[in-house]
Amino acid sequence: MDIDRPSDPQVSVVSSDGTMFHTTLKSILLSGTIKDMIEHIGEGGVENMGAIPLQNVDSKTLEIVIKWIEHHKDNIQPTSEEIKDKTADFIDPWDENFLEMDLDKLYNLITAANYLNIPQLLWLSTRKIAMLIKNRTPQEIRSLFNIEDDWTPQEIEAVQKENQWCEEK
Amino acid sequence: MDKPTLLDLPTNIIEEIMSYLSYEEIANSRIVCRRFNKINQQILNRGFFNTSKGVKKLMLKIKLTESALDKLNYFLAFVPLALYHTNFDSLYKFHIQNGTICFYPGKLLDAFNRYIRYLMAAEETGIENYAESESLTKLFNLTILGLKHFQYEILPDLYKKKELKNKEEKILELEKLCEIKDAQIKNLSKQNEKLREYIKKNKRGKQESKVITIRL
Repeated sequence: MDIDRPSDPQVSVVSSDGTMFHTTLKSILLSGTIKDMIEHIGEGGVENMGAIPLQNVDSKTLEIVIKWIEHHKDNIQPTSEEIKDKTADFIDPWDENFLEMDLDKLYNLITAANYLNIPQLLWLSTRKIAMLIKNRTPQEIRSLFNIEDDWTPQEIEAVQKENQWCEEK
Repeated sequence: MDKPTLLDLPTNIIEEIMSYLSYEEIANSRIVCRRFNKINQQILNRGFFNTSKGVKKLMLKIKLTESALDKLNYFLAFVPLALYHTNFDSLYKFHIQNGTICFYPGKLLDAFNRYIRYLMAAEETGIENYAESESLTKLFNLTILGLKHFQYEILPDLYKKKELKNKEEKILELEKLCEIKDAQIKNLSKQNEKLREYIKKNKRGKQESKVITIRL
């Protein structure tokens, strides 16, 4: 009966390592990937739909993603174009706090946001990394992100020479 | 298990990350590693072509609104764009399209993009005095630094590299020629041998036939 039907039905998702998570339709629709899928089967099929398997997201990451989408389920999500236009805009303190995690988790979150197509979350998490790169020397960037210096001395000299163009002599 | 690093992320995501940085920062972080360099070079080149498009558009627009500006203002606003158009657009473009360099002066892209935005805004709110605009002086200085460095530091190296490449190519060509000649010589000597064998056989045949006739 329609009267008994909750306005925001429950949906289950399963992580790559087999853990099941319960969330609501409204939250999960923030994922473009899942939205496309649900549109394909039709809203009516949601209640009879089994748990959605997410092969590319592990349970730790999925837990973080679900925390984010449940917090933002009632907010109007900006389109990708709107996200691109604003560069250094205001960031919700809740989000700022939410993104305080170690880099491994952040990489996984970025990969998941990309796979699940959640533009706002992808924007927030990639921007977070960009802010870490900002105002750091190449050596600091290497040690922060655990990147190996794979240049030969001649090659690095060539790049350095190019970058010296605006140093006053 | 190896810990994931930033470099494990796909290229389009790294490009996304870089898009929050200024071109100057993108140019400076090329030094981090080869992958960064490769990705950032492409971003810089794309930025260069986009800025070129912006400059061309603006040059046309300024031409159209010429009457609304006093002559000095018109001249001053136009000069940096003309400088960019005649120098960077033709000088660098050739080498970028050849793949020998990328548009490494990222700070110039930032400055020109800021200038383009400034002119666009100035046109909407009314023309100010360009001569007094701080960004204009900065832009001139940067442009001159960029051009000087390119002409005296980068171009000679590019020519040297080109010469070396030409020499290497010539050596390769000669080596190939030698190989072809060697093969030809081998072929000829083989043919020679075959001929000799043929002659020998024929001689023997003649001798045998002679022998037979004598017996008869």
